[in-house]
Amino acid sequence: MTDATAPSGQALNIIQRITRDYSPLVIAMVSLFLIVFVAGAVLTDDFLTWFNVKTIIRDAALVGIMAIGLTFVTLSGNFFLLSMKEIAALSIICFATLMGAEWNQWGAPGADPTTYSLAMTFLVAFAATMVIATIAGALQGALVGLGGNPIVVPLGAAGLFFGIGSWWSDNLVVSYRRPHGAEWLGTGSFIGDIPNITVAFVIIAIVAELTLRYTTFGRQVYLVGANRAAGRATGHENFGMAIKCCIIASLCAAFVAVAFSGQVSSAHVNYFSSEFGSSGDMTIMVIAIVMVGGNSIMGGYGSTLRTSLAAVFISSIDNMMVLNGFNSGARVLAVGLMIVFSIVVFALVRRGSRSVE
Amino acid sequence: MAAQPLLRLTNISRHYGAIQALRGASFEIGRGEVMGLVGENGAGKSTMVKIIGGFDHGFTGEYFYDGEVRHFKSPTVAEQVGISIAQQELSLIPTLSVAENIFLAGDGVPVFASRGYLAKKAKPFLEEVGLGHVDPLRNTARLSVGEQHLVEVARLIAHNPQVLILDEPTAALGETDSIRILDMVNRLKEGGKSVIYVSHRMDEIFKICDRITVLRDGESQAPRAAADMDVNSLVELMLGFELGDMYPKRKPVTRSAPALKVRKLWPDGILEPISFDVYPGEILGLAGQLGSGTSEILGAIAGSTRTRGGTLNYKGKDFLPSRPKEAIEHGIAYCSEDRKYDGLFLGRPIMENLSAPALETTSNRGFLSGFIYVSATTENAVKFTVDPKRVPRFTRSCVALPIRAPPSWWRRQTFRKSPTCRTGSSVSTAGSWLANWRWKR
Repeated sequence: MTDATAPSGQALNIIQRITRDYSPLVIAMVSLFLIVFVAGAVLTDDFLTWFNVKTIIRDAALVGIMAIGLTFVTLSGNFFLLSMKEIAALSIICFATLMGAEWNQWGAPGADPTTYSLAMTFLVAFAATMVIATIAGALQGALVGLGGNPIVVPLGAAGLFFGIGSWWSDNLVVSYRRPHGAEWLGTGSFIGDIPNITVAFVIIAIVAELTLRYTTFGRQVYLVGANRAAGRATGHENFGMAIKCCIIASLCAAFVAVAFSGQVSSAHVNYFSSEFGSSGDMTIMVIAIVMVGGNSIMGGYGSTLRTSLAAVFISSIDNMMVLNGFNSGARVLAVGLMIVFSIVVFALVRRGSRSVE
Repeated sequence: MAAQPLLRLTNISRHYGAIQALRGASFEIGRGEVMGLVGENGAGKSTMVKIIGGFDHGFTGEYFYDGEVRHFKSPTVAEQVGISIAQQELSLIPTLSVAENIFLAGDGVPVFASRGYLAKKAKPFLEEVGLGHVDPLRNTARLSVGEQHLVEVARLIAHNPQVLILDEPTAALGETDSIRILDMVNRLKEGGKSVIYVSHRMDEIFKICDRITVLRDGESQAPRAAADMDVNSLVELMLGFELGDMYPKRKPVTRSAPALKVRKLWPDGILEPISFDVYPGEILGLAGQLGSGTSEILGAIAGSTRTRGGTLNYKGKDFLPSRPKEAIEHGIAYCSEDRKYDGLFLGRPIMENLSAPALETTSNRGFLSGFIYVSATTENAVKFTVDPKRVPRFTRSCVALPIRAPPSWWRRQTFRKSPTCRTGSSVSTAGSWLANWRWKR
């Protein structure tokens, strides 16, 4: 028999394992990305300074958290939640309105705000925002889980959420006074000078990855994504998974909205459409990160760890281009090229593995 | 030169990573000969077929076709030379007509051809495969699976191949359709074509093959005349040891209290409700052709087919599963007909496949327990003859090869539900089995 000759799984070193598990194309793509990264890092002045690294990760954090949430939806085979930006828009309006609401000001009237009153105002607004995001996610998840088209349902829901947010805020900027409780999340830092939003990003990335790897829920996400029919046959139905994953994505979007609002002490429905990231449009940025992270669009393969790394990677490239004086058009182009590149590579890999079957 | 075989492969070796699929195997086929290619799962049949058909060119060894050395770089080249391969899985376009499917490749017909012209041209090929009664303009999706297989072969014949490889053409077919395929093979043979016939059905092998080549662990046995062999000697060659009997002796079943009572079960798609009992230790066969409703009955018991009514009684509980999840909770293991559709999570590790229906048993408060998980899945993998070496690897096509689960195992199951039985199915059944299996600490 082959027992004696075949090397056991443990005996392989890391390079052998990589070449066994990944196609040469993927290895080449990742290597190319790394080479670009290293070359850029060496050639760009001021890139490898502590201040700049902090900036990169802080920029990566907001889109990264959203992308991690979206990864759950994608892995479970429910395509992309195309309403990420609108969920965030509705959430930021809800949050800012409640932060500024008369009834939500805790502590004695006229007196200086205390830590307690700031925290209470923040927590009430935060909780309400999360409830709204949960409802938004569950609504879309249920429709998709019942068999709604995973592209059309979120697009329709996007209009709904944006409309509500726009109507609620009269399409105006909703601002609230500093000091407020969201500053801590948006711009504060409690570990040295590392921004709290960066810490949140790292924690969410770790928790998400562990959830996917070591919980039954995570396993179900992969299984339902890999083969929906087999998932049903083995007792894991997409209905529940779609709802849960959409809720996770919505909560991540709402969390980012709260953090962003905390940075600017205001809200407007267009914050995530026009003034965000290099390409300006949050949904596109988030999808770009999920794609560049190499997650399968059809679901079942990928991980939030890859998504997190892709967020940092895209943010670094963006940062390098800023430092080298490229304008925003060139930066959008770079992000677009990375997406196209990774789509092509993964499509080729997919085709290659099919012809073997 | 009369003894010169048409196609001859000698000393063929091929390895995929650490797995040695073929080690110095040889194969030959003469003109107008039907050569059976048999072997256990993983013996290298598919690899051999792929090499012959030009799908796999990473092998070492010698390949002679018609006395010339060949090394095909792609299946297209092999097809031009005259070697065509009918894959196990259908590659027809269901929305096109039969005639359009036959001339899919577009050669031999003008660029702008009317449907009527194609139909006229397709007719002789259809007659050749025994589908003379089928209208060439009919939509392919409206044919039975067996007829679709025949259409696929007709498409290959349209290229006028000298060697035709049929990779398990009857695996998914009922009796009538299988007979059509066998008739067609005989007609091809009379027409001087060479046919390589890969199958697990012993009766077919002996019915139509002139000679049989047995592969075992990537090595080939010299081809033997089918007339000199019988089922037992062939199985012995495949396994490498004496089996005694192909099927173990049946234990007498005492029919006192049924293990499963099915009462007035009425799945969608069958005409009237059905009732039957299954007793402990009994294997109950449900016979019927494709579309006769046997799959629907099994599907209804497993909760995957809609039902109009009825009850099941298992372990003293009355229930009617409306979803597979409920059936699994009640202790029903179901092995689906189409493993690629709803039997396997291809591309996910085998370990995950094995434990998919059993996440409850292999986890602790929502967290997967590494210890229970690994030991339970490995133990069950062995029970179901899934090579434990393959377990940590990815489920790739190699595992989707057909295999017969050992009869010894089936006796352990109270009842079995599977129209076909394959490794892939073994993996999925093993999982369902595990769902109701407790780890003994």
